[in-house]
Amino acid sequence: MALDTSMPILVVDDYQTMVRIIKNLLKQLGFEDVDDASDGTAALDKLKQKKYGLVISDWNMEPMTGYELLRQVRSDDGLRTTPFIMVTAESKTENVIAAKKAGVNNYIVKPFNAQTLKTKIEAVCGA
Amino acid sequence: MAHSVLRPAAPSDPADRGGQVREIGTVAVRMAELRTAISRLGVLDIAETKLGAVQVDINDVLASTRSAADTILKAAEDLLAATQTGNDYRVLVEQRMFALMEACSFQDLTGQRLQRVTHTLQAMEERLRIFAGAVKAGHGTILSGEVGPDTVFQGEVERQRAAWNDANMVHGPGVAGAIPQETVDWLFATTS
Repeated sequence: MALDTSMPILVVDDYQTMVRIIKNLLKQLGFEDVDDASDGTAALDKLKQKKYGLVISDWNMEPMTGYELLRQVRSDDGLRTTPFIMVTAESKTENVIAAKKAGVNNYIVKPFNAQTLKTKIEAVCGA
Repeated sequence: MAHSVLRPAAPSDPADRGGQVREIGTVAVRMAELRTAISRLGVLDIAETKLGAVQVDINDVLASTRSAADTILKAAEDLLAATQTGNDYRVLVEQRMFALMEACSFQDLTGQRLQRVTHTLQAMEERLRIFAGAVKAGHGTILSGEVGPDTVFQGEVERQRAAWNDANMVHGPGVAGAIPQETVDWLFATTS
């Protein structure tokens, strides 16, 4: 499945190690325009300044969680169609269902590898 | 002259016996207060729930670091033992480098687990501080809520953090009932 590797991607995670891992995996997949934010509030600021083709966000962040970021994105007329992948440590069924109901496009459980990330991005953004 | 509770008074001195009775009464009241204060510590909650969760989290941290170390060592061993040359060697190096990067995600998982351990220790510290205040052994004070016989010394910081976490955070990693990627994918395919 063809991926537009020129699309800007925003990675949101409060662990810099995880940000580096995801950015390196994205680079391996051919994505070069990758920005990052350390929580939902910082991510919202960046989303309002630049048009992103995909948001990859952790759930557990303070003060604004990834779930709250997702809700804000989906309630913003200018951002509501932005593809959104949630990344979490092992989670429960109710978390996945809540995220799906809030409009998440896909959901990745940590730890994950490049192939899982590629598959999910293709499912969300593939032509 | 002050009388010790343990020092018997002379049987012929009814005034002293009365003083002893009052002193014993005071001690009994104080012991009842202590018993109430100890019960408010929520010892069972600490022992059965919080310390149990700490143990699980620390064991998971050990397992995560062990797994990451195995992956890192395996990648190093594979590269040192490699016989490929040219492009084949380059492909092998790339594969092992990405295995190394993926292994580094353990830092995120262990970070979350250790953060929970830290929160638990902070909560226990706060309860003990309040307990010290209640038994007048220190300068702690009861921070919030109505205090009654069933009150547990859950401080305001602990209560607020627990409420926020319950409402907002995913309760992984290592949480009972956690589901793997395959189940997540199935949920996505079957729920609307």
